[in-house]
Amino acid sequence: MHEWALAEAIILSVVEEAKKSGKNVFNVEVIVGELQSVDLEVFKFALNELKTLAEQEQGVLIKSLKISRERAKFRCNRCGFEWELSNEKLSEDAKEAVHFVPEVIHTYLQCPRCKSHDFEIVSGRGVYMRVS
Amino acid sequence: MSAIDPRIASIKKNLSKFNFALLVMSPKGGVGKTFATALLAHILSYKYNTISLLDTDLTNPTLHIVLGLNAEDMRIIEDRGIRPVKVDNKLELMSLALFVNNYSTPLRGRDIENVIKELLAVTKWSGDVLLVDTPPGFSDTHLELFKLLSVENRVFITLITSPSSIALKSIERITSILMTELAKIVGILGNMCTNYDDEAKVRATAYKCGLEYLGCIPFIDKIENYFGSGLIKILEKLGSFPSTLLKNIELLTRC
Repeated sequence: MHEWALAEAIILSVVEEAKKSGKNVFNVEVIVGELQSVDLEVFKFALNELKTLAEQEQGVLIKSLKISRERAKFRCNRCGFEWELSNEKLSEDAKEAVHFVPEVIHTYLQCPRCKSHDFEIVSGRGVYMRVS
Repeated sequence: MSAIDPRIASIKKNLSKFNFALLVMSPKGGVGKTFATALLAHILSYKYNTISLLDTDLTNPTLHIVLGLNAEDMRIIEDRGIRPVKVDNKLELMSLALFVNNYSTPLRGRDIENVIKELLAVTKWSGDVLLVDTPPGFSDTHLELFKLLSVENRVFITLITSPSSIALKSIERITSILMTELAKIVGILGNMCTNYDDEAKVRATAYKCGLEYLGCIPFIDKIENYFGSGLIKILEKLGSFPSTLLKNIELLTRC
């Protein structure tokens, strides 16, 4: 499952941050973009499993783990029109492709007003994180 | 709170198994980079168990076609990430064609950086060497590859050129900027050479640039007929050229 790979990347990043900073206790916030269609249940389960391993094997404690979703929004670079992913219907194949590489949305989506493929993903692209 | 891109940690882990990464580059389009990449993959497979290929021509990926694959038959296989597509027992490939079939993907600079990062973060390679086919020029794709690959790997470049005067002039131009970046260039490989004069022009350019001359692939008529398993037949016809090229690459990537 890709969700496991995403969760692994989060925990690996915290472990790297621990090595760099010398800290071993962290608060982590993970922001999940709507465009990547992450299965949140699987993602949370994977994060919790890997978090426990990081604590046991690396001595890195994630004291709080907050996960929030970000809506996917687009802005056309040609005509300036703004719209949201929730207004679009993608095929299952397109959803799967966008799940792995969000930018391929440029193949499957066009500006609803001027039909251009040249648009910006304003928010909700993929997974990113903040640590303190 | 400081923001972190979690893909960087995945990229480091995924790339750590490679002996080295080799980028196939040319400032000029149409000189046969993709074809040369496919031949190089087979040549490198003489020595290494598995060669991992990455097609970074994001707008128009075609390496899979030269390797004999049909985009519509390629399937995404998940394994805590994605497994590259098996080309044969020795070669594996990751390409944006896996996600967009035969469609094109128009991308701006920041999107290009994101796709390169995403492909490197999600792909679970099994090869010993990473061989990268790049689009023509020296811009977002190449700069992002240099940045990401050099964190974990020894990165080398093979320059491809045809014997045309424009292609050779372009090679001189890109070499001078790459040298200032302290890039490690394996050498210059000619393609579509029809006679001794063509080879001499490529050799002279390599000498002028202070680079190794890696030889020339001759012009091959109806090249499409050799895509896929036919590439092996081409190598068989090239005599000692493949093994000499492999020795050169080995020598130059050793240090």
